Amino acid sequence: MVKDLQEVTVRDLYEEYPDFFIDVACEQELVRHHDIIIFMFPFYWYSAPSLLKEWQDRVLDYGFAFGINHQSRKPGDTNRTDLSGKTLWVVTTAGGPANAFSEKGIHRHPLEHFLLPYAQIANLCGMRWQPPHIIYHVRQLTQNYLHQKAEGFRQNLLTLLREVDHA
Amino acid sequence: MHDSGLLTQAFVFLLSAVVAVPLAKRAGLGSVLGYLCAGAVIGPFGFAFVGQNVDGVMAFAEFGVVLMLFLIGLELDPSVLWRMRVSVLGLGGLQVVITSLLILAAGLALGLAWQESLALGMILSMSSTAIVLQSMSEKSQLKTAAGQSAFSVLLFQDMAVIPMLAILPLLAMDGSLVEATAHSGLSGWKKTLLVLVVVAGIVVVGRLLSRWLFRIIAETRLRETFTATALVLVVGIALLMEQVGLSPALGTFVAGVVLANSEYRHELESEIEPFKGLLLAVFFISVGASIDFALLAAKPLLIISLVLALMGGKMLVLAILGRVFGLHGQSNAIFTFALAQGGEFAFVLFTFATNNSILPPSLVEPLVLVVALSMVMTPLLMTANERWILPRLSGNKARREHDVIDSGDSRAIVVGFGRFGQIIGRLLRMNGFNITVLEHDATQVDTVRRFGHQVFFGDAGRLDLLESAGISQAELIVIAIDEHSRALQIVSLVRRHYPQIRILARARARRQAAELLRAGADHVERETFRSALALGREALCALGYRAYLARRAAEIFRHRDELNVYELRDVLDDETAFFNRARQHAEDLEKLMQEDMQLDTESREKSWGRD
Repeated sequence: MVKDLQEVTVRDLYEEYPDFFIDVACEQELVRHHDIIIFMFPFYWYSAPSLLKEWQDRVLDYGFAFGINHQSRKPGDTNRTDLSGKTLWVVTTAGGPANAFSEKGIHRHPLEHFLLPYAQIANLCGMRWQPPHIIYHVRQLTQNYLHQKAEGFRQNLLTLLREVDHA
Repeated sequence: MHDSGLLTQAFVFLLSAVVAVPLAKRAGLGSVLGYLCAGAVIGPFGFAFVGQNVDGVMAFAEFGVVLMLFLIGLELDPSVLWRMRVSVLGLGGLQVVITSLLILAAGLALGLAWQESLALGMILSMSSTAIVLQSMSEKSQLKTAAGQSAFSVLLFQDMAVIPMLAILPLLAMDGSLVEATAHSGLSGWKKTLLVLVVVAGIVVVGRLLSRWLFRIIAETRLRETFTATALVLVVGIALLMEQVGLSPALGTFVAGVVLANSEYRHELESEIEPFKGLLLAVFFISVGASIDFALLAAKPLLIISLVLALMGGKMLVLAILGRVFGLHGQSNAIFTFALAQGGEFAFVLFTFATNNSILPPSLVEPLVLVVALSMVMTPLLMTANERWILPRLSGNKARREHDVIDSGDSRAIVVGFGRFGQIIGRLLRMNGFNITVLEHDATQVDTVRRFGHQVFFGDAGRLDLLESAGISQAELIVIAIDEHSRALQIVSLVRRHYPQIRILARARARRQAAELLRAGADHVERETFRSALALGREALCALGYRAYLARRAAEIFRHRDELNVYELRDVLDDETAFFNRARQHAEDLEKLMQEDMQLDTESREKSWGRD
């Protein structure tokens, strides 16, 4: 759906690292070369699937993502990291309908609340936090519905790309 | 052409081999028969390209047998040899004794004197080490039960030559013990003592001095010097053994066994191997050249019936003994057919016997021809055995020697179904994939088939077999055999003809892995790498690492090491063919360990998982 876009690199982590061994240097290099980092995942147990969490634990390392970066530190620039100025965007799919994620629903909170850690990751790493793109009720799973949602995501991405380009 | 120069001779020998061997191979008959036929064509009784001095050439080329036994010794740990003692002494001993007695009886029945008959019995009980081992190793049969038994018998025969050389002079018809042995001055017990001292000397020198000597030589970094040293060692031992009246082949075999545990074993192997190959080829050619076609034409019936009687008698004894010593069905057939010829020692012993007037030339001449013909028959018999007899012994007919493969619909082909291939096969089948398995060890095929797997017998190095196994429809071929050269050959064959298919290959170590990748494999796994890594990971845990950290360290190691294999693939070049593997392994290892020391597994202080 977005693979054809020239400026987008799709990193299918479960295909890339079936043994959960993440090539940190390679991933960091990829991150350095992109302006927008999108975490795209199905919403499992109020969070990302374990391999994406492992990716965060390994790749968003001290010195690279936060803290002092020896490579890019300049005088008076104490908090710059490799991620500074990049955009973090969470794109997630939930099985249940939107109203399940509300104070009255079974999950008791809007989905955005559960994404608090991601917003704080962006903050700590000096990244711009892009409001999440959430697709509810994928359990419905009709081809039509999915196509429609995919197209919506694609349009949002294109908009974001243009914004970043102009910035 | 009698006075043709050395170079001309060499040219004729080599050219004939170059022409004949590929032809014989193509016909599925093995290189030995090719050499023998080449010899017959160029010999004095064929086109007479080489002169009457074939005997001289043969005596020289017999040294190839000596080198071969040295190499076999290198492959045999003393402990392996010790485990073979029952079959060497029991099977080998009984083969020599019973065959000798049978021929003795036949001789007596034909009206020969008992001395002549006994001499013939001993001489003809020998088999040809050169032909049997060369043929069996070409067919990868040496490590099978049949191969081990055949080797045991040959080893005993080599030892039996010593007492035979002592007994033969006593059988002289005229009673005069002229030039009985070269060192007749020594009495029996002194000679025995001398033999023991020499063998002990080889063991001591081999154990204590060789390492020191080879290290000094290796440090000169001159390849030629190392080659020369290796040859000096083998030639020296051969000469020494001849001096004390032992078989040179046996002496170098002992030296090989002594050096089997040495770290220079692989280097020695690769230095000696080409000489062995060439000399054996020359030896086979000269055996072929010595075939006296004039005599065969003069008395065809006599000669042919003698050949049949000799081989038939030997096979009878071998078949019975094989069964007694636990060989069954196919194994016993392979064993029986392999050893049914007369040996190269027969040539030596016949000359010895004639010179000592034990046997009259009129008797010896046809028998030399019979022995040579029985050698020619061996590769033919072994092939006939494989094509027509083994299939019947397997129990299910119509299905042996390259089975007809009917399952054209499997998406994966697995080549080799030993310890390695089985795991892959079971995993795939457990997940519902229909696989086609090719395996070239007949006994293995039956065992595995009994458990309901679809396993087919055949040599995956043949394109026609791969095609009937459905390679044109398959998406994937897994090469799981352990023999590197064959794996390499299959990979390049498949890659050449089927550029689309995915090739997964098992490799011995890093260099072989790199070679397989270069030959066109898509993915290689080294056979011991992952399991060693797993054990290393356990070791880290035992040393106090948290389990996850140990896993992570092992994964980082694996990742770097695999990158290294890909780098190695890109720098592989023709040095591989020339320089020797053992030295390369040592250099690779040194380079790796230096890198390991410089790089930490991970910059530790910044790792979350550290504390």
